[in-house]
Amino acid sequence: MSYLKIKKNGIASTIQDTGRFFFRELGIPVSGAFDKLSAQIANILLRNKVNTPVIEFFFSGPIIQFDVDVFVSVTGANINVYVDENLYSSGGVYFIKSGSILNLSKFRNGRVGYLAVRATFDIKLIYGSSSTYIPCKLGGLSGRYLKTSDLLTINPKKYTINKNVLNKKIFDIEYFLKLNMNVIPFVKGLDWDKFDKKITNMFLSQVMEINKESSRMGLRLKTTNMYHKVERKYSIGVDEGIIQLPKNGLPIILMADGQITGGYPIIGFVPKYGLSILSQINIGQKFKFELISLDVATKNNKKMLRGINKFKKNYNLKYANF
Amino acid sequence: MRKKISVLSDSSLLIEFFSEENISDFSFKLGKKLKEKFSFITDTVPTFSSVAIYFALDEDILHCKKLIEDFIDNQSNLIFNKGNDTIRVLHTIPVNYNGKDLHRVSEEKKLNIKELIDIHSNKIYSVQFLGFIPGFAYLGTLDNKISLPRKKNPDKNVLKGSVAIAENYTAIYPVTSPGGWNIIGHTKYEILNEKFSVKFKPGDKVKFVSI
Repeated sequence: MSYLKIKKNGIASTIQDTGRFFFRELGIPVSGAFDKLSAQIANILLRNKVNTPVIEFFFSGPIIQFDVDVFVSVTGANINVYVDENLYSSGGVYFIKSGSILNLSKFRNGRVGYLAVRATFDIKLIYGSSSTYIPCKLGGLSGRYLKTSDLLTINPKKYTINKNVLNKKIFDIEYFLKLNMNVIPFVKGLDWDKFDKKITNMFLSQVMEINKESSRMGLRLKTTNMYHKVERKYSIGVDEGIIQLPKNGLPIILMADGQITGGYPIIGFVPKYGLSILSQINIGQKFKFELISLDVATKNNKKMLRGINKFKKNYNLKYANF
Repeated sequence: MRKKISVLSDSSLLIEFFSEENISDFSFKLGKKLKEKFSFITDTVPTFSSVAIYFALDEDILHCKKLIEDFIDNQSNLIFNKGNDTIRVLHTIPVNYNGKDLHRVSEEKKLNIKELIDIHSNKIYSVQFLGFIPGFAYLGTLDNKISLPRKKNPDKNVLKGSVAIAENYTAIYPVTSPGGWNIIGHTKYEILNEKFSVKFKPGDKVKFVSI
């Protein structure tokens, strides 16, 4: 058995995977990585199964010491990857020698990062997933955030990689998705037609920012209040990416730990391929919504899935893409 | 019963029913049936008058919608039949009616404490759906005589085991969490065990006993 020793915990660092499916009717949220694309790619870069646990962190990652030679990958935000004194860009695969220290504390930009390890973790599955759901102390490492001096048991696996791509940036979200963070795609939601034209026009034209009070449950947006009187009589099942517009006129986008049911009117939804870009928007960064059709959303989702498959087959290209 | 199937997100659909009655028992049965019938469905979430259907991203959403529509149309006689309400599982929950909002509720509803407790504990409730947090079961239907809205200012910390009421439902908080329901009592009954298995399943029956 080998260990990862957490020298410094980073911010809101947890164990996550691709999510907890099949149990929503018991009130169990899907959870899983906040940026599911980046978390999957982190594992694909190491030829791990896509639902292998990864370490997720926001704004500043952990500092970790390894007691074994192992390959790791770092994806998500743009992060300074320090292996001892050596600095690399994130989005690639790095080799860590026993005794070395990996420092992910410095983000250049972006919100959330992922560390995957070419190893199996000793994490108990709950409802088929290793994801941590903090509100219920469920999953991951005793249902809590990682803390300084935690030891994570790992069982490293063999790996080979072309020397030319080691330590290099292989994956970049914006490049991969051909999206840019200033424009977030959305599709009209269930209640779009119930809003006055004035409100939907505001929604289409206003500049948005992500409020500090956002969490893994949802992104709260900062913008001019779009006060309205639309109501939903009853709560309904909701989903990741759904944009609610409560009476105070400030949108909430439901994310990984979002509730199972919700009663606020739904103005739209961000399709799954857009969630990765959305989840990387930094505090203070401005963006607008762009209306797209369901058809375009579905096509782009499929393109993303094809891109992931292509990436699985051949990621030794510099900058693999769609 | 009039129904409407809409796109809820790029990987989910919502079947809404337009009925004056509470039909969550029926939504639960329909959700279950659809999940059995179609392997592309990963999750269903029945609520008061709707069922949300979830599937993987690589499914063709409009094709799924068509299949579900056809299925419901062909089955309408069968599934709209309410059927007999057999009790499958009955959970008996001992409650200490000492909640911090008990007196306020009794004043607002112009009932004395004993009447309030009797009304709450005399009924067998069904688990109509779960949501909000794992294991949080919406138990219905609450007697109109004790029905009141959620609090305007939700509590930051509602203790695990709190028995609460709001609108047409009563519920037990499975873990300590923020919440806006009116707290009338507490129970030691564990809804989530240490392995996080949820005691309540949609359709189960629940009875409260005053201790």
